[in-house]
Amino acid sequence: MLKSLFLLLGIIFLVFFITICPYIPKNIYCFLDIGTYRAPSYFIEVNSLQTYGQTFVSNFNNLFKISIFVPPKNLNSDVFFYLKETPKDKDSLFNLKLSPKDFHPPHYDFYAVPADAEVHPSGFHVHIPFPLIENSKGKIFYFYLECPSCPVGKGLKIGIWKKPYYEALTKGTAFLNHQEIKGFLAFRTFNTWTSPYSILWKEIQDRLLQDTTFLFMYSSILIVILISYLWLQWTWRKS
Amino acid sequence: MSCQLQLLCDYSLSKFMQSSYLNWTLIGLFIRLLIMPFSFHGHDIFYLYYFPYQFLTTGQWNPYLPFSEVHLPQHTSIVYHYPPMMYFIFTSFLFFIKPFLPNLPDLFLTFQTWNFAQQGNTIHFADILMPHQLFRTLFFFKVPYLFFDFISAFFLVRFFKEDKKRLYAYKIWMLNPFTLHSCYALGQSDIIITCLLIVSAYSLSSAMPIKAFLLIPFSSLIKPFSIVILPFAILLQSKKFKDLVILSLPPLILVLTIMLPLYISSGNAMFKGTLSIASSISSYKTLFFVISYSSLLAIFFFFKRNQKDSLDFIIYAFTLPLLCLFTYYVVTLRYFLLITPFLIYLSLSCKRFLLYTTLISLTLFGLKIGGNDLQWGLFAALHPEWMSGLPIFDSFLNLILNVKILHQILYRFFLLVGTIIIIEILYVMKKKYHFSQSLSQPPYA
Repeated sequence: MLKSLFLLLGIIFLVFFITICPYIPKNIYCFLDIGTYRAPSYFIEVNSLQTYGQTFVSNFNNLFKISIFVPPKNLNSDVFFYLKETPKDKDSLFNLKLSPKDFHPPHYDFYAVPADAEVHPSGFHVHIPFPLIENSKGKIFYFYLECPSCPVGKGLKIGIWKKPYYEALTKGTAFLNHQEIKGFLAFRTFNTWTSPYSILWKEIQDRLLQDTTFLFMYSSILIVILISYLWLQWTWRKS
Repeated sequence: MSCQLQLLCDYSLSKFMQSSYLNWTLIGLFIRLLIMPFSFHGHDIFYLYYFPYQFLTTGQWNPYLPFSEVHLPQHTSIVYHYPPMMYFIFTSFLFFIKPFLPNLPDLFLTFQTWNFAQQGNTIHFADILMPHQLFRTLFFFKVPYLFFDFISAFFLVRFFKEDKKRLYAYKIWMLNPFTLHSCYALGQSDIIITCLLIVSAYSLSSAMPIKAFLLIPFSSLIKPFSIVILPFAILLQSKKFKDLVILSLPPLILVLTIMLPLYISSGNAMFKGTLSIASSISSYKTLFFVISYSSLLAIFFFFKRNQKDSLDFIIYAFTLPLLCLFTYYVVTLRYFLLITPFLIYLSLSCKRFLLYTTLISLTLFGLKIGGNDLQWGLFAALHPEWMSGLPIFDSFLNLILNVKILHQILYRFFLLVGTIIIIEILYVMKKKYHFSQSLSQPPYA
């Protein structure tokens, strides 16, 4: 009975993974660095007169995505997203034109987990992926949104925290028309892992070897338990 | 004391059983030790030890007064957000483990800056605390949990009369996913409360009610949830109205003795800290919980209390309020640990409960492990970026399903199974303890 149940479960899992195989992205690694889990209480408007932006310092390498909190159904015109190293830079690292169709909750997205935190009654996170920035750790970045064709009152609304609400954000603030203002936008940044497994193993090894005294004591305890278990098994079988 | 010794000595087991227990102890210990130095969640375990560290280094005995050491620009008054006994118990733990942690001052200095100035997730603490003997710190911080864990196993086994069931219970406890996740992976302290609740249930069944009436309020002074059991336990043990008053006195005296000095010293800050755990629950949930809890208490009140020493009845008295609390009010994986020993008892007593327990546990895991920082991300200490970047099962599910809707369905199923267990327990009680007869006779006539 139990065997057939496990067999059935195994078949279901196999069918499930065969079904989703074509949709799995090449790079399966994605983690959230900085961002606000809670939904913001205020919204500001990006329109023909107002450009809103934000600076932040990435805590990790391989930055590849930013998401911004927007209320549902709030846009009729195209919006431009720009990513720069500093607000004073003339050239942008990346820019993207977002049409109203791009503003939808991230359903069926491999990276949008936990899914519950992405969608809220007051809005959702719009994900904006860009080419990987490899050495992003400790660097300052600036992103902003422009909507030159949006009349006042009909622009893109985005979430903002007026009081300081930090979540692993060491430096950074919101910008209005490229001028620093108090508060910061409700946004998240995402990083990935791209190095080969040999580097991964070496880095894990380095971390373990940082405290060799503990490592020796810890591994000794584990070995003693393992030997005791094997000895117990052996004596039990013998008797 | 002699009673406890007798407990330990009267354990006459066959050689086979002895080696089975030893085998499973080694397996359980090995799994726990494997997890201990490499896993933690957010700031949880560091927060638990940070304030006791201040007690040991600066001598601040009242955690509800602002800590002079952590006056940072954004937060001028940082106070403790747990009931007082958590502070004192962790201070005693730290007193013993501090000599093994020479880098603790540096670790807490870094932690203090990050936690109270800009916050941080598991990945950040794994990254910034690594130079301060992170593995060693996590290991020693969790060593006291082992003591409470094995004490819990010992008393859980004592609930059963048959050797076979005892061994089953022990095996389940050694592999209990709730213990492994809540206590050793997350680093939370719920195993201490669980242990105190098991011992109090055992004390009630061994006709030592005063001990139970001290342990239950004591556990609620660590985290307030276990207080919901107290009215049930008092009702269970009292035949007359006078008994109700007398049995309420030891918990009241204990709570007042511990809380009054802190209240005089720090005023309302103590209540804010103590009750902050349940502050984010919606009023709708609170109302539903209050109604269902009061109804259960009323039903319990009208039961015949001539079964006060019956272990089954005691287990029901512990299970009902906890299940009501963790099904209708606070739905989290880690608090559910408190109820697991009682669910193990019910599961081994009746096959139907085994099915319900399996269903409710699986649903809760499916429902509440929805983020990477509760799965692979817990092991971020080993490699922050890689461990936190690994996809979870929801990532794959999200490709073809709307996971949010799936979670909503799971939540409703969880509520349904929880309610079925409550109804089933009431039905069994009615069947076993002649509920309908006692309704016709007022209990305190």
